[in-house]
Amino acid sequence: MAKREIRVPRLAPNMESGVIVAWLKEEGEAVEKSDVLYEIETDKVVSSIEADAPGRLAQILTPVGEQVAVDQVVAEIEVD
Amino acid sequence: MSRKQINYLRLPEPRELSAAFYFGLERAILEDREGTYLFFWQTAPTVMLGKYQELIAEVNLETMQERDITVVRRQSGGGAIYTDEGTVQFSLITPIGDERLAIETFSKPLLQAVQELGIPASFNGRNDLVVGEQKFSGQAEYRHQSKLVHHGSILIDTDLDFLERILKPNPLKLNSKGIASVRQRVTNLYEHRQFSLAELIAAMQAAYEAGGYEFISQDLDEALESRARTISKSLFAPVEALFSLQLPSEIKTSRRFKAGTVELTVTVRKGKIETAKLRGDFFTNGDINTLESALIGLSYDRETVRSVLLNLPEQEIIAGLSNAELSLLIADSKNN
Repeated sequence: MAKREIRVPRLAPNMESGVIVAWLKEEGEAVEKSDVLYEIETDKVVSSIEADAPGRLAQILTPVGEQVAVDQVVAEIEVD
Repeated sequence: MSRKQINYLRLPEPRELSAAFYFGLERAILEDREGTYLFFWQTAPTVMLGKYQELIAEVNLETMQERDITVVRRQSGGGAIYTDEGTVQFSLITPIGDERLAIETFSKPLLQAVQELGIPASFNGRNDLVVGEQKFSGQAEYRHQSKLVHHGSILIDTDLDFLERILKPNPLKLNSKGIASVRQRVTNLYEHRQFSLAELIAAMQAAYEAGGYEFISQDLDEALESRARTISKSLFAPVEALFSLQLPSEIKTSRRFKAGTVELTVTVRKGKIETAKLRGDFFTNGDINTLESALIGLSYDRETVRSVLLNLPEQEIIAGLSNAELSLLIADSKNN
C-alpha cells in the first residue's frame, strides 16, 4: 500500500489559499477516481476536488472550516 | 471553434420567477449539455444564501415575516443577497477543463456592457461591480466536473430599503471559521441611467462578440426545462431551518429579565444544541447545570426548548424567572 498526498490545487492564477467547506468522504472510506473528496471555497468560488486515483481515504489532515494554502497537504490516500 | 460559441437561451413568457428553477437550469445544463450557455433571469422576492451560510446568521427573521420571501441556497460561494423583480441575474455555464481561471474572467463582459450603457462602473477589491464605492453586482461561481457555473446579480431597480432590512447589517459570526458575508453600500443602476433589459442583453452580447465569441440564440427546450424542474426540487428546496450545515455554530444571546440579565451561549450543529452555558447577574434556587444539561441534544427551536424546560422537576432554578421563560433566548423562526 502506497500513500499518496492530497494537496490543494491552484484553481485560479492569483489563488493563495481557501477554506475547506466540506469533506464528502470519511476516513477509511473507499474512493474511486473522480469521486469528489472535498469542497473548497476561495474568492466566492466553491470548487469540488476529485480524487485522481482510486484507493482508500486514509487520513483527513484539515477539518471543515480550516483555511488552507495552495499546495498544502490536506489528506492522505492509500493506493494499491 | 465550438468553445467560442455562446448559446444564448431565450426563456418563455410568462417568466418563471423562482430562483430554485434557474439554479436547477444551470445544473441541468452543467450535467446534460456541451458548450457554453448564457441566460438572464429574474425572481420574486428571494434571499439567496452562499452554499456554506446559515439562515440565522444572515437574515432578519422579523423582516422576513413582512413579505412572502423564499430563501434558497446557491451551490456557489460568497455571501447572502436579496433579489426581486427589480434585479436581473445572469448565468453562464461553460467547460473549463483544467484551466485556472479567475472569477473576473466571467464578470468582465458585464462590466463592459454596463460601461457601454454609459454608467461609470468598475471592479472593487472583491470582484464586485461598483459605481464609485457602491456595489450594484456581486458574482459567484461553482466548479464541478471540469465545468463552471458563474452567476451574477445586477441591482437595477431593486427595493434597496427592504434589502437593507432583510439582510442583517452585521451578519452573525457563528464560528471563527466559515464563510461570512461582507455588507457593502449598494446602488441601483437606474439611479445612474435608465435602460431596458433588451439594451443590457445587447450590450452583453456586444462585449462577448468583442471577445471573439459568436452568439447563437435558442429557445429553452422541453427536455432541459423538465430536468431543471426535477433538479430544482431535489437540490434547491427552500431553506427553512435556521441551521443546516455540518460546521458547528456558536450563538450568544442575552436578555434582560426582572430577575437579572441572562446570557445564553449555545453551540449548534445541524440544528441540534451540542453545548449550552448560562451566565448573568441573577440569583439561583438550584443548580444552573440542570438547565444547561436539559438543553443539550434538543433542536434549536424555541417551542421545543420551552416544552422541555416547562417539564423540569425543579422550578424557577433562576430566582424570579420561570424555567420556560428562558426559551425566549432561543431565536424563533415563526414568531420572532
